Amino acid sequence: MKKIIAIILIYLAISAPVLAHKPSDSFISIESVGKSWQFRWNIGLRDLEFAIGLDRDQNGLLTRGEVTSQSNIISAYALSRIKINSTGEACQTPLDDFEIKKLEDGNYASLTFSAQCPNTENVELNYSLFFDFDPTHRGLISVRNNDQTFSYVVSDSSPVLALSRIDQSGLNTLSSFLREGIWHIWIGFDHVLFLLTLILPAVLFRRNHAWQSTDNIKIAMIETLKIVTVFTIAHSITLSLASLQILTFPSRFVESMIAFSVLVTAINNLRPFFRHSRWIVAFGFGLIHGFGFANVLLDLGLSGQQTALSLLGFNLGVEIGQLVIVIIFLPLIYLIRDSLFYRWGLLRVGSSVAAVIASIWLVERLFDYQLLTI
Amino acid sequence: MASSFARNEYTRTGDSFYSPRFWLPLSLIMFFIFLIWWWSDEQSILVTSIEDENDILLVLQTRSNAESSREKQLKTHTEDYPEDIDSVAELTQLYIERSRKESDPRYLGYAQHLLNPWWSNQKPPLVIQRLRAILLQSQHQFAPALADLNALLQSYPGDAQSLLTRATVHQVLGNYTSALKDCTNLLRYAPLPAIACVASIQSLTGQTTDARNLLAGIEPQLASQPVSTRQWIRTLQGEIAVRKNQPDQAEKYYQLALTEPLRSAYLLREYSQFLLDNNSNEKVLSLLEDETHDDSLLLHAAIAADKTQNKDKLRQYSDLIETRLRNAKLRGENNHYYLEARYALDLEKKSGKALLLAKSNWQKSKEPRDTELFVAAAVANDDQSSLHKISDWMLSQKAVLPSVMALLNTNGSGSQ
Repeated sequence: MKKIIAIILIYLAISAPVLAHKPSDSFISIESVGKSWQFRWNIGLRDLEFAIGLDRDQNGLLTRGEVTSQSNIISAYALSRIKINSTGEACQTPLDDFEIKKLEDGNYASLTFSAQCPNTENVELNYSLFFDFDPTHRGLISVRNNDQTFSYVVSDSSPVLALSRIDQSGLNTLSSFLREGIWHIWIGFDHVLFLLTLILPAVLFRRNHAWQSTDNIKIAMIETLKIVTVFTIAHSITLSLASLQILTFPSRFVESMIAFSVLVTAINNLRPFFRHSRWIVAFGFGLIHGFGFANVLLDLGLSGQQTALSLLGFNLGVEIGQLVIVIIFLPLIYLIRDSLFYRWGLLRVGSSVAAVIASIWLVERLFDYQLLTI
Repeated sequence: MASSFARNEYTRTGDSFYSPRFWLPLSLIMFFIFLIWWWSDEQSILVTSIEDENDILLVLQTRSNAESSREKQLKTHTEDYPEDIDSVAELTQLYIERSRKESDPRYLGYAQHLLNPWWSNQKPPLVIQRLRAILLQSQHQFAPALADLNALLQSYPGDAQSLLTRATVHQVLGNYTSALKDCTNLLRYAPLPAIACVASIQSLTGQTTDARNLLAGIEPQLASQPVSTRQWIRTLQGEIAVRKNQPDQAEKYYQLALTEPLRSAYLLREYSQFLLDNNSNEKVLSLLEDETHDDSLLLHAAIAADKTQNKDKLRQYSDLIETRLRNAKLRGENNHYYLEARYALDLEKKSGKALLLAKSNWQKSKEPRDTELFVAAAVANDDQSSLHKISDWMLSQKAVLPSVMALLNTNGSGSQ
């Protein structure tokens, strides 16, 4: 008997171990979105095949059809092996989506779900996938929290990960909200359009019912920075009020008002009615835009004790983002202030285009109807 | 107010409605607006890939019905009776074999789970301890594996399987004298594995001709051996030819090994290294195209991509290597020193980092490639004390590795 075993196992023993596959891992990426946690969980089909036996027709080939037709079984199996609790109470983990994803070492079932917890304190993840037959299996977890990513591993011997303990220092909060502020002014097309429309005539001044070009960029720059800062002060006020839930408006109203603000500013460039006081426009509409920013900030999630820092960081970020736009844009239009391209192409045609876009937005937002894809 | 833009105001710079100075920038702006529009809408423009129900997502190793039903039967049985030694031993052995056949470490995990009731026992039943030793060795845990094997062989000096396993562990650890002793003892119990075992040690200690002749002697028996055994011996013959500096012979044996219906990572590793040494980089790229799941093969593919200046492939493979190292570290594994060290030396060109890692790797494992990497890193750093360490070890074990000795001699490690 011994001899037979030896011959069967010869190649097991003599050649040094060379294993082609990487070991069994599942990958979880977790993102904190507002008050809930969003999960994407990639689980190897190779592991699932061993655990549940997905190859129904036993032909040695696992097809897309076989996997998708068993997506319910797979999801139920997996979701019963991840428990998320907050202060000891179980959170609901409803499945949002089931996909098949190709990762570097093969195909994975990719589950998306969110954890809805009775409260947000002490959220814990308890992982037990495949440990019932493979103690070498690991869950590799990456947690994204306000622009930062942390990596963790859960194993048979340490299956629990505390999510709410992943906190950040004040400085991190400040800097990550600062970055978010900059980013959101840049990708917020309506805010950028408002800002550009507002500063478009900044290299001109009115005399005798006509635009005259200025010859002093310093004055033009200072005037514009004043306007932008007034805008920031105004939106900081309403942003804070709205984020702290002291004063809120329905988002459809706010969004419509933002579109209206672009429209008014654009028309003001064509047929000025706020003569010498663009800063009043800036302040008034700043109040409106602040409510718009608040929606973004609420989506990002404000953590309890660091609300003030988050608000400060976000407002500073928005201000910096705006200043960058002004500093790039103003010298450009200053250089071409006398050209026909500026006076016709930008000031008149540009403002008209802005007015048209704003009108479309206004209609869309007021009546909740999609006209444009932007 | 209606005439706020008096005509003379915007014509004073000499611009005209019809001049290109007006229309060119305007059309550019219109173009960019169109681009933004298109970009925001691209999701509907891009053709979504059609996914077929019959796409094959995973190919499972084909096994006979008898094999898979026996495995299922044992799996169910051991779930109900996790301490039934006979069933546990049979299934553990099946899993270890599968991990080898399919080059898949997850079966080692399944096997470890089966041995769980005895995993930390000082003195488990013989059959369990033997399997535990094989498992530990497969997981590169050589010290506990040796402890099990020593204890076993103390009580049962003629246990063929344990002798063979211990010879392997000794060989990986670079203790050629002890390995040879175990192989020789094995001759009485299991001649064919023992001969392969002896030849393997001889090929590392300068007796390449003896090794070749020994293997030639068992040639007639090879046809009746399992595919994996035959392929392993062919690969060993290829390695011996490389050490004898007979590239044509080596190519012949590697090709023979490749004709077997099995793509073992061990064979591909040795053959692709041989090709790299002979600058057949394009061949390496096509050979390893679909084999990048293995660390060493991925590394060889990346080196070949680097040598052929195939930037896209190099980027792709390097990204894979970095992801794998990151995940391995996260897992807490420490058996990736070789990959990390050679990646640092050959691709990142960070020889200092490579030396530290290659040294740690060599302390754990002294297969020829480990020594080759260590000596290359030591030479790159002109680290005489490491070179001395290597030549001292080679002297004590009578190791003869031409590739290593060439480097040692030209870099003045005096003791050679």
